[in-house]
Amino acid sequence: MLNKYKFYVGTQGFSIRDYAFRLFKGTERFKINYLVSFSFILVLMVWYSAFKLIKNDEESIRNQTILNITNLSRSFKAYTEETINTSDQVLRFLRFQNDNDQTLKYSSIKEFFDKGILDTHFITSVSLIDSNGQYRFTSLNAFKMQNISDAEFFKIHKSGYPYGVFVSSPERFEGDDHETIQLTRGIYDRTKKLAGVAIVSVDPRYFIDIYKNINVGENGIIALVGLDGTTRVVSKSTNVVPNLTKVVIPLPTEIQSKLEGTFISDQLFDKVNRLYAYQRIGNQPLVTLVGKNLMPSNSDASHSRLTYSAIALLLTVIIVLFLISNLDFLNKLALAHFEIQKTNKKITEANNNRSEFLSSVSHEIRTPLNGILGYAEYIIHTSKESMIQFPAQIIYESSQHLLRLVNTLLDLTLVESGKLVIQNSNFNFYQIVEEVCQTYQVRMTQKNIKLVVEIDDHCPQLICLDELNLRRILNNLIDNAIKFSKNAGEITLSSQYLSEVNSIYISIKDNGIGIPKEKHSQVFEKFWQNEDYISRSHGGSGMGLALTQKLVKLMGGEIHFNSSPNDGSIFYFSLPLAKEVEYA
Amino acid sequence: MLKTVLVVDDEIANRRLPALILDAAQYRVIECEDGKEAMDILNETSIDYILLDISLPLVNGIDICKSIRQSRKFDNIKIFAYTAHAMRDETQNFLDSGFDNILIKPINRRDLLALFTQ
Repeated sequence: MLNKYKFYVGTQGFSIRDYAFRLFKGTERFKINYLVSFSFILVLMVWYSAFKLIKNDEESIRNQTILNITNLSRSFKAYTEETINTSDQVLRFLRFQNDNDQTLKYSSIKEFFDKGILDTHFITSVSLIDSNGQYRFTSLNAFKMQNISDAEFFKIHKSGYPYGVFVSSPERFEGDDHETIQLTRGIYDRTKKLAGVAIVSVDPRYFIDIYKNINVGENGIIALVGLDGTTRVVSKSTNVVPNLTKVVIPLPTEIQSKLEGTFISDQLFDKVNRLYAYQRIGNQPLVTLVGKNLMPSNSDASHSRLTYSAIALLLTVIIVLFLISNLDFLNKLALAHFEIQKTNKKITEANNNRSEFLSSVSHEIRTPLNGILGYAEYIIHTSKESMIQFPAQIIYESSQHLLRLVNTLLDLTLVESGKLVIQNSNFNFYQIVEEVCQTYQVRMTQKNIKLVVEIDDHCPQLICLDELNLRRILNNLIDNAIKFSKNAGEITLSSQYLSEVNSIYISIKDNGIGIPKEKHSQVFEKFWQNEDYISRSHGGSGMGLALTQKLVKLMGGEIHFNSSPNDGSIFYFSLPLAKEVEYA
Repeated sequence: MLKTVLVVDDEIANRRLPALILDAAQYRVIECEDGKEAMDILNETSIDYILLDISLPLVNGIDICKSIRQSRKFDNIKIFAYTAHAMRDETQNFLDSGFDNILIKPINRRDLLALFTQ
């Protein structure tokens, strides 16, 4: 049971797949594959462009940022160097005074500050200590002159500091109301032994106060840092009071050897990823750092990224929708194609069936007609009794009529279904005309009609045309002419050769009843009769002229007529001659 | 010496008609109904012309014509298709199968005699 069920499912699946495969086979299948690949490539291109644009934007924003913070860092450096240089002037002055006067007191120096000889607006205090770390004097008023030989700067200068001015980390000394940065310079005697230290204290905020109004962006940073990573002053964003606590940050090693540069880090002050620009301060082991947050929530970069992504997404959706709609269209196309093929097959089958049917009908009618016509003719030919000849003649003529009707009907059907193929052969044109005319001898004698045949001398005897069709055309036109001729009428068949167009021209003229003007347009229509169906006295199927016109057209010719009532009609046509068939 | 015509048609009316006309026109006429009889007659008698119907019982006229044409000793016999198959592709097929000419039913006296005097 299970196996059976499985087999059933399998077969179903296969047949559906098979059907789908048949639907999409051939060009439609190819078109679909092509369209899918094309759309895929298009989507890829859209996203590639979007990413490229985002990257370009980010790059240009980054370059702009680098430029900005490098400039900022440079001016910070210049400002810091100026501050240090100015402080150094004070320090050098203190050293100079100390060298000249070992009993130097602050009161004697204060005069220089007060007179403005020394620029001290950013200096909070000046001090001088001796070689033992003991204060000799300080500008701070209520300050206990303690021994500060433990202070970092004292130790540094005692061990021989090579950079001149030492800039300390912020420190809060007793008596100060806030942290200060000490800029110190060692005073050495002739034996290079430390004789004292000049100290200038500076408010650390001074270094960065001028950047209060400069926007380094959200979470931006400005800092003055020692090469060893010890911070001097750090200002995170602009509105917050700077962090004066001394910390050691892990600077990248390249800073030790380069004077300026940029780097990216999220390890320095906090976990914020920043792009930093650094500048080395003069000959000091110090750098200025300006850092800009790389991932601000509403930066230009993220804005452009969002915009480009949105555009790319929109384009993708459009492409996919286009693809889907086209797949649907192609699907329908494939279905339609399938249907058309099916219908075509049916039509072909029907056409073939019709041909077979026609051929069968033709055979089945001709067989009994052979008996009727043949024996009627035989009786006419052999019997001497008019009592037998007369009815035999009637049988003969009626069956002839029937045969013509059947022939015309079949030919017309053949022409209309495109089954009648032109078959050219070489034949004697004069002979064919004569033969055709002869078949009407009896009928013409009965109506006392005179037939005149005028074939131009220039007309070639041997021509190449579809002989059977030419016979059909001549038969129909002569038959018509006889039918509509009055008793003792005259019919003229004339033929010429049109050398310019290599065609034969044939006209068949009668002086019969003619066709009224208003009916001219219907002459070549099927089932048209010169007279009303009921009152007609001429017989005929109304198909002869329709077939004639179709045959002339099929052979590449033209047929026209002129006619007026009681003057008779002239039908004239031309047929282009085919190239003569060469027999092997 | 009269020329001998063999008329092969399963319907007596259609078989007798050309026979009557040809007989009156000084031909020696032999009639038969099918291919088997025709072959027997061919082997016994000297025949000049055959009027051969196509739609015959058992073996059709085309196959009979083909089998006659296979034998060299019948090379001088003219075989005419005597048929109501009048469509052009059909008649072309007859000529391709070895028939010398075609007489399409319904026949008339003039065409029939013309065929034999060619």
